[in-house]
Amino acid sequence: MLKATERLERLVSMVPWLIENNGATIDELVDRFQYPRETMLNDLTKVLFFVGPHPHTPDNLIEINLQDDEVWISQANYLARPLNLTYAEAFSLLAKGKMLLQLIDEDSAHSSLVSALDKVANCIGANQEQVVIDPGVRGSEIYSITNESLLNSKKMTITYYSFNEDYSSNRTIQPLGLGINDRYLYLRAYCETASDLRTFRMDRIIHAEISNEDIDIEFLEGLEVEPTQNPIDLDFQFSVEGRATLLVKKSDSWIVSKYPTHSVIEKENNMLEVTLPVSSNIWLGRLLLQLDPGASVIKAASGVDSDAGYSLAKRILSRYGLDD
Amino acid sequence: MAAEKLERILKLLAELLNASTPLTAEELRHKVHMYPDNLVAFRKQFSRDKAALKDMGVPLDVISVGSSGKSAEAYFLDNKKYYLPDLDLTDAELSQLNYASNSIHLIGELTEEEALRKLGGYTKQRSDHNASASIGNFETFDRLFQALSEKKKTSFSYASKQRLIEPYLLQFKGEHWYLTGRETGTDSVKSFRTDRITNLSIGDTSDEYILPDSLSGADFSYFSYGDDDEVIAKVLIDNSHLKWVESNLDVPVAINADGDGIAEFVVKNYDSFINRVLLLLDHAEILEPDFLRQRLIERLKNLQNTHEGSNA
Repeated sequence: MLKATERLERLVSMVPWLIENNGATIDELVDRFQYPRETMLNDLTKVLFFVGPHPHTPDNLIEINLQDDEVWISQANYLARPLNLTYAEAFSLLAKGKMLLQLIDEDSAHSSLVSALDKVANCIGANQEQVVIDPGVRGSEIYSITNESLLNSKKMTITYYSFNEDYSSNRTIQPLGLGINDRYLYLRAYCETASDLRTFRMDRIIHAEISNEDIDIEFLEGLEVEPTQNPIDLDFQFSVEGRATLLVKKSDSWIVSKYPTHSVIEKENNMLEVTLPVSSNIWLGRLLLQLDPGASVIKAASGVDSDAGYSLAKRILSRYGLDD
Repeated sequence: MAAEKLERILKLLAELLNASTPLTAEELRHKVHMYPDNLVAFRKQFSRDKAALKDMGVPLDVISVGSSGKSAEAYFLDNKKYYLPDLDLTDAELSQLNYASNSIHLIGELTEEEALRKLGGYTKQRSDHNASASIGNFETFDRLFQALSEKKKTSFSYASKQRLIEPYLLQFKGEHWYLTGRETGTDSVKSFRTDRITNLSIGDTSDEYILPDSLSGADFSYFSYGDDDEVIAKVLIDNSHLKWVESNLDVPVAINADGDGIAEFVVKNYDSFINRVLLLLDHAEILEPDFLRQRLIERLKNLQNTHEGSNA
């Protein structure tokens, strides 16, 4: 059942369209304006029929002409044009349209969308160039395979590059849905190779294929997870046990805002002592490569390699032909 | 009851759209002729009806009329602002807007079904293209888009500083939205992450500035702007890391006979560039220019020296 305000919104959009098109069938109006048939007929004949400016005499009330399954409207000049778009509506259309432009080929549909977006932007005084969309991984074949798999509830086989461990692995997964966390898009899935739930960063999936096998809904329900078409906000927990204390220059204080920390202590000579969780030794080594070369590990928890930066530097130097 | 409310708001809208001068609440009460006699009940109902119109996007202005001491609030609907301009949308254009609406999902409170009904109809349809992007705080976007559409100066707090900006564009990149505009205090074009903007305030004056001839958003290749002399760097990238480079570094990669790639970067910030290459560990190698290659090697050797020194 539509609320009065929802019926109002539909009427002030539908009446101009009816006038411009010189009438329409009820079925077409029901489809075009998502107006339930009985509600619409009631609103046309028992509400709109009595509307007009003061003094509400028959000559200034809206005239509704309903014959068989067709309806015409007259004496409603002040409702002959729709209400303008709000800024939010125009922005939403532009953002979606610009994203789609990045995903479709340049053909006739492409050019119709470009001209439509120009018109939408113009009607609120903007320029469509004022909304810029970089689809990132959404423009990739892997993203499109992932979506197809989610839409059809099919398993996938993927090759995934683990940034924290620096190795690639082949996996069969049952995709559950996409998620967003800070700057990245992730795929949540049940990984059959690891026999557990996993979250994969989309830009690190380096190969993907859709499988003929359906995902096992009954099995997933047993794990109390369910596939979703709507992306969700992801929240990641950082390791409590793996941690390291680094001595870094103050000019590298960006790590404090970028990563979670256990403690930050100001030291002499413009240095900071930063204790932070470590997700893997490769991760720690990469972090050290990004810092001023004067940074060092002064304390490392059990399992955390205080030589992580040194070892990675050695590996890279070897690539440049500089072995010990 | 709902039918009565609908009829009353439609009559109120009819009066406002037909009025050539602002009308007071009392005049509207008389003309609509559906409000209760009791003054308190009338004010309550009238207030709710105005809110319903405003929520729908009806640009209802309130102005003061009458002489001083006897002034009253009057309501006026500027028809130029109310009516959608004649867009002359073709069926193909409307169909493409509907397709975009069904294909792309903005995670947030924005909806464009009402917008499409205004434009001629919303159709729910299955799409071959699907993508989702997060929209964040709806109210911030609504106001920022209004500011850049009407060319109104905008002030906000960002990174502990108060800024006055002439907004140029909104840009989606890497799961975040950015506002790019000219900062008046520094006379420079800057980009700001919208989710970090606080204390947003939009100026009252429209058309306060002119947009530049060509608009471009933030450049996220940090190494491509800086004070160093510009060089073209060639980097050999292992086949296993080509996808990552293409999607993270925004650079075309030429594939050689071995299946590895050679990417060319415009570099104006050497340290920032070396940082990016180091993220690839030993899966990439700077081929040229030689001085950048040597600089990377020197940095790694310095790291090793610090490590050896602290372990000595």
